[in-house]
Amino acid sequence: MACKIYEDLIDKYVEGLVTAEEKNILEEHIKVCSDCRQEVKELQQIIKTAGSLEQIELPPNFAPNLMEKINSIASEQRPVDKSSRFIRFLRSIPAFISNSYYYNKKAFTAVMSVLIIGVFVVTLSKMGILSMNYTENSIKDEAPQISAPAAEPYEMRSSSKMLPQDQIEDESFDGANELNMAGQSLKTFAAEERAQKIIKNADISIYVENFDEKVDKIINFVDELGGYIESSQIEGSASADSSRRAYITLRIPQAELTKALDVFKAMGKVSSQHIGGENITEAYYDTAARVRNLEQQEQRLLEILQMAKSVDEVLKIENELNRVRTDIDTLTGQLVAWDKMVEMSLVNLNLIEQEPSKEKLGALNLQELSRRAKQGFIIAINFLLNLLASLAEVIGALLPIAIIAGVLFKGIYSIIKRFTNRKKKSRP
Amino acid sequence: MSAEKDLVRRAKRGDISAFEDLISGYEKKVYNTAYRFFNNAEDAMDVSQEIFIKVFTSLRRFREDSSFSTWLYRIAVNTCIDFLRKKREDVLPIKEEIVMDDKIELGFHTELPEEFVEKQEAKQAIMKAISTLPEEQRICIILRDVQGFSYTEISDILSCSLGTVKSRLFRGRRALKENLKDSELFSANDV
Repeated sequence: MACKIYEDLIDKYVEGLVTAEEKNILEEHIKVCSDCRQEVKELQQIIKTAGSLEQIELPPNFAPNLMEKINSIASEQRPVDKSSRFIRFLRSIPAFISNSYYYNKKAFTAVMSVLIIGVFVVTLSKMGILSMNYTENSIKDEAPQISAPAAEPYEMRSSSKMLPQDQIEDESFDGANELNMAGQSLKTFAAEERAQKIIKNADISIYVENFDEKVDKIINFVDELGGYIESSQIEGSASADSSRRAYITLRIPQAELTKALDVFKAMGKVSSQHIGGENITEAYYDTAARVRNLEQQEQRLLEILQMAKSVDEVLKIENELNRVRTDIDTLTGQLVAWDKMVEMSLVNLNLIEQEPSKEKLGALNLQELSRRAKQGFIIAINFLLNLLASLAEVIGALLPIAIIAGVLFKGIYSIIKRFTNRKKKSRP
Repeated sequence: MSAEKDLVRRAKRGDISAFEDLISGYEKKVYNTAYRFFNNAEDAMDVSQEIFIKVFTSLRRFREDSSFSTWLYRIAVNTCIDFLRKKREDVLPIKEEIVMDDKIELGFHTELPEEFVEKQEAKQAIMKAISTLPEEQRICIILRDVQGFSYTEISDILSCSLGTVKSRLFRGRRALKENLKDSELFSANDV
């Protein structure tokens, strides 16, 4: 065995993670200590051999097999997976309930009745507002920057950080000039300086009935909002049994994004939705400041150019000027691109066709009946799921109270017991 | 946005070809990790397929707060360990695997045949020894000494502290050493 105090050092040493000093210490030590020398040698051998194990080639059928499985999983829709898990969960409930009932009947009854009442109250109070609130919350959760007010004071950190103090005045003057050309005052410049730059985009998948009508409606609606369609692709044909899908990439003015998403969502059943926001404020104003800096440099170079005497000097200055102008172009291009991304949010809309529900009266329609039964079943399960979610919520909420109540109860009970015992003793 | 992030996003939307591109760079490394973990090609194949299927089905839950590779290896490690536990539960007849995958191709090596054979034997011995380590030590040794991950990567993958990784490696290597005491590995060198 190696010496205890050197163990750590040996580990670092064999991996080559020691400092020069530590290396010296250990190398001195292993000259005299044969145990440690042996340990180092053996560990080095292990690491070396382990590291020399070759990477084994994948079996040739690896990727094809895998992709086949993945394709079959992708084509099976999610509900199958969910229901099997759900059924497994259902199976475990009776055992759980009977177990706990067996252990303590009274407590079990009490707990269950409290839970049931609580769950119903929570569920009922929620059912009404849940659907509306949920979408709002999810939007806020996923992109907290969006809800942050744009009026929040944004320090001119980015521009002042880049420049020496004496240039700041010049700078804002320049900036004002620029914007005066665009017909804006210095005040709006300051306000714009503060504006948050956030790129928002959204992915949304919806099941819709009356597919063609909905697609037309979307196209019109996007026009109305001042947006445009970047690309659209429709898969499948109207006559085929399988449902059609439309992949539409839209650009929508950021201010209208929420409204647009609400309209899209109202068209059918939302199967998935993702809203993301990327805050580029800092980078944006940094770049803007760099552009202003470079423009100033360009101005100065032009002045110097006037003073140049020899051809050589002119060429050198023009070279430099060229470089500065290229930089300005690149950065301005970047700013324009950013502006476009901020102004127009990207929406990936995925429409999936769904058979319109046909309402028929009169004759008993077995298909219709089974469909309704299925629907009823799904509604019931959804209700149950809601119930279970509320159950979890109520348990969570009651737990701390239950603990405190339990402790109090125990305390009071023992005090009363002691008290009555004493009474009994005092008059036997 | 990096190319990988873009692929992740497309794969999340259900784009299978993007998913295929996304995992193509990891297949071999994951397979090898599993192979070293089980020291057996059949299990390695089953487990690594299971790993990528899990990656596919749970991709939507990947919140992108760590890098994709860390997330993927976390799934890989957990799946290996689960598989091992399941395997232990199923009582199987003990099957001695005769590992002959490292074919001895004498002609292609510059070393002397004896040396080469010795090295092959040392490798076989260490592979076998690694696959008998306790699972936590085993996974650390494989990630660090065989696959060459850094300490921080390993601690991210296993969601444990650097100190834990170090101590598992420490104990793992000592255990290997103990295991290999009588094997070819050291006898060839210590005279």
